[in-house]
Amino acid sequence: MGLLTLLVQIAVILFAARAIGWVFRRIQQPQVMGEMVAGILLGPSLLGWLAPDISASLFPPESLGALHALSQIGLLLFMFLVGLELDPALLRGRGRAALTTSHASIVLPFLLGAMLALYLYPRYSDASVPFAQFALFMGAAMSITAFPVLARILTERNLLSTKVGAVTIACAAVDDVTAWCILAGVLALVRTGAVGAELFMTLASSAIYVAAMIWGVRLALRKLEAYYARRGRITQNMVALVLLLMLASAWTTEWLGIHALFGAFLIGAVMPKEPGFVHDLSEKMEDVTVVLLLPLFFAYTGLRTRIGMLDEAALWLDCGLVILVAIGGKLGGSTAAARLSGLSWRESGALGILMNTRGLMELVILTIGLDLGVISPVVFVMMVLMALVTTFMTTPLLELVYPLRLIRQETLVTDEVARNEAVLIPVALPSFGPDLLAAARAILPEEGARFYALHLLRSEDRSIADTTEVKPFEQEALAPLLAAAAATGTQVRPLTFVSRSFGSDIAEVARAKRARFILLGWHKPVLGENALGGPVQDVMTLADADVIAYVARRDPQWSRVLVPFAEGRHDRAALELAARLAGRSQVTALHVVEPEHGNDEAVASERATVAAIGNGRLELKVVESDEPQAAMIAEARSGYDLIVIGASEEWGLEPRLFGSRHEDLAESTSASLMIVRRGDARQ
Amino acid sequence: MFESQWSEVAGVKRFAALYAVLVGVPVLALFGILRLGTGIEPPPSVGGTWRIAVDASGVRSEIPGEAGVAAFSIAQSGRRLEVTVGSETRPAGGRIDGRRVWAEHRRDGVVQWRLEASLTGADTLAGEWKMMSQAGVSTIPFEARREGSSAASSRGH
Repeated sequence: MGLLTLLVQIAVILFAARAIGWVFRRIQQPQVMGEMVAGILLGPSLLGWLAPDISASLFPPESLGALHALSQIGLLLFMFLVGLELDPALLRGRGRAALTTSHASIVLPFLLGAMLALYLYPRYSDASVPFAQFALFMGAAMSITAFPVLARILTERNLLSTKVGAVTIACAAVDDVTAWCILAGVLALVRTGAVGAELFMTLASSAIYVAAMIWGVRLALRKLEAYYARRGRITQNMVALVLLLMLASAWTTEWLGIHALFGAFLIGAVMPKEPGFVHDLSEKMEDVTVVLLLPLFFAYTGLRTRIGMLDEAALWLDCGLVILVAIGGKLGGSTAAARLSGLSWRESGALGILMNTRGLMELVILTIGLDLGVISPVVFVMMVLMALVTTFMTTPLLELVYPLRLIRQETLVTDEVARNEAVLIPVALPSFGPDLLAAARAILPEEGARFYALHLLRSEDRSIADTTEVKPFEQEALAPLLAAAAATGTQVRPLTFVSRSFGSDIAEVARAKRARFILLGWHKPVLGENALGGPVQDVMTLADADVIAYVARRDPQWSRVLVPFAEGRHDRAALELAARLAGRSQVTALHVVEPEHGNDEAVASERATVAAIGNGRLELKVVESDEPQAAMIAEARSGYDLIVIGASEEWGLEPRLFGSRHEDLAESTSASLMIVRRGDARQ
Repeated sequence: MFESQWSEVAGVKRFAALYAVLVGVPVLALFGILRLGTGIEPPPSVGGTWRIAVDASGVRSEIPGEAGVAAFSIAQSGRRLEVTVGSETRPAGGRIDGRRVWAEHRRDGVVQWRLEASLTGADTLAGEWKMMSQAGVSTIPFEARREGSSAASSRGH
């Protein structure tokens, strides 16, 4: 019965977390925000309120022990991963602005939290908790920043390469370490009961333990790094050793009187920081932790959060006050400190908004506080709501203050003045990169042409607190293209970043780089219609540049090129593109007319257009047929190497829908194929 | 050369002043707050699990909830209390005023029972359960002792 219940509980929690997480991602919120909300909804705040019988049978009190144990294991692993991905370089040498801002962004909300405690303590605490414990805990809880969520937002918005991103991540890292140290001190105070010899012993032994970890264990762990370098991968024995070390460290700090989570964080922080090691180890441990165990923690937290406890207007007003103080202290304090330290108002505002993100870390701290009895259930509910509000508001506020458009402009238009034409080459399949480059060089053969190779990473493929821009192994997708570029002496600028929306990001980069063309690979039959439809369709819809979907079947030394041509802007774009190839290839423009209209004025007009665009180098072939598509396909089968075709309805190609008709066309000929759509900027 | 040194010194001075204002002053203020807070008196602690030690009537099974239940728990948030007895999924709301504890459990708007008690010591509670039924009100006097100590860890949240 116990195991059956637990399995059902896990299944329900997992489903709810993924489903609501997906919904939140659709509204540009971090996945973790949705998972936190899912936890709340499964608890007495919604499920228990709407369907108390179902809630009671799904989460009977006697079954929660196993759920709690699993959620605690999940938290230990999570804190280990946070420590593992904490880059010590972020903690030093970031200048005075970062130092002042990071310290002020802790101290100011801490002070406001303690001041708020003066008001909350007589109302929501009791005599078993001394004021100092309550106030210090409230201060620590107010000053925390959700480093993993913040790192994820910075990465997703590609802010890490900006000044504000660099300062923010440094501040958040300092905040994280400092807040956990403060919390460890507060917990020691709570557990020992008062300032005295016992507290001193706890703090002293904790300090010795931290020192031993930094100067002893960290050096010893270099052997692990060396072993990894020899083997080239993380073995199962290494994972087991790391887990044992984590459990030992967690046990030690729990025994010392601070908290097990601190030990897990600490051992993660002193692990070797070689990027490959960190990545491989994270990858081994992260999926189970983030996908399975953390949602259990959210659900367990949600089961203890009964929003219905706030059943009076006064309680909601106090909750509002808590949220206001939290935002005022963290957002206001960080913004003011950053501004006074020399950042612009916009940068300071963005930093303050980011630092205000509480997220999961707040829930961790609050759970500890509730378990130890430092905060009461009502304060817990208020603070959970504060964590949700401050996390939720981050993305929209940031978009308001520091829009993505601005970030792109700052990060991308930094190099050259766009005098020469450029082609942007998004690469999905690494092996297709050289073909795309060859096609791009054929389109823009002139000296000085700019080529940008772009590889986008899915945000969920990166680690929870990954603070680096892009790691070498993540650029491997561009390696074949860059090798081909080196072999042909072509200068290519590689671009790799994390994206939430491939289509809009490709269009945005093309805009920022003032690209004339976007050259996409169409990997049929590697990718099916559905897999391709989304991003390619998005690019076709959103891009200002002309978009070319390329099916490579032959070497790009095309001797015969066919370009079906009717009216319409996409056909004109195809004709212009084909004209670029006319120097090295024989290009035939195909015009299909209805029978007995072969000599009318329209044909004369098309002839003039082809002559003008092709500068006399294009041959016009007029075919009479009632079925333009069939005529075009018949012509395409007669020995052409490349078909360049506009995405127009004349040829059965919907300009905005990339689907079966395109595939039919691709299948009807063995020639390479370029489907061209005129960009919106060149109407 | 001299100018750059002067500028560096000015920069350090500005940084020190800024740091003192943004970090030093709040830290000092924090000590003031901690001192100020020691004078604040919160409500007495009643949170935790209470085991019924003496049933004055000798009929412990009449305590609300499951038959034979010998304990109840109180979750405390300042003066607000939530009393859970047996396997009740929804706790009873209550308050503590001074040392007097009061809670009332309703189902579908109808009062099922009422608890009226006083803290007689740090960990002892004495009072009455009033059971409401169509037959009338039956009063059961009781005494209860808090499990563990009255320290924070025994609040039973």
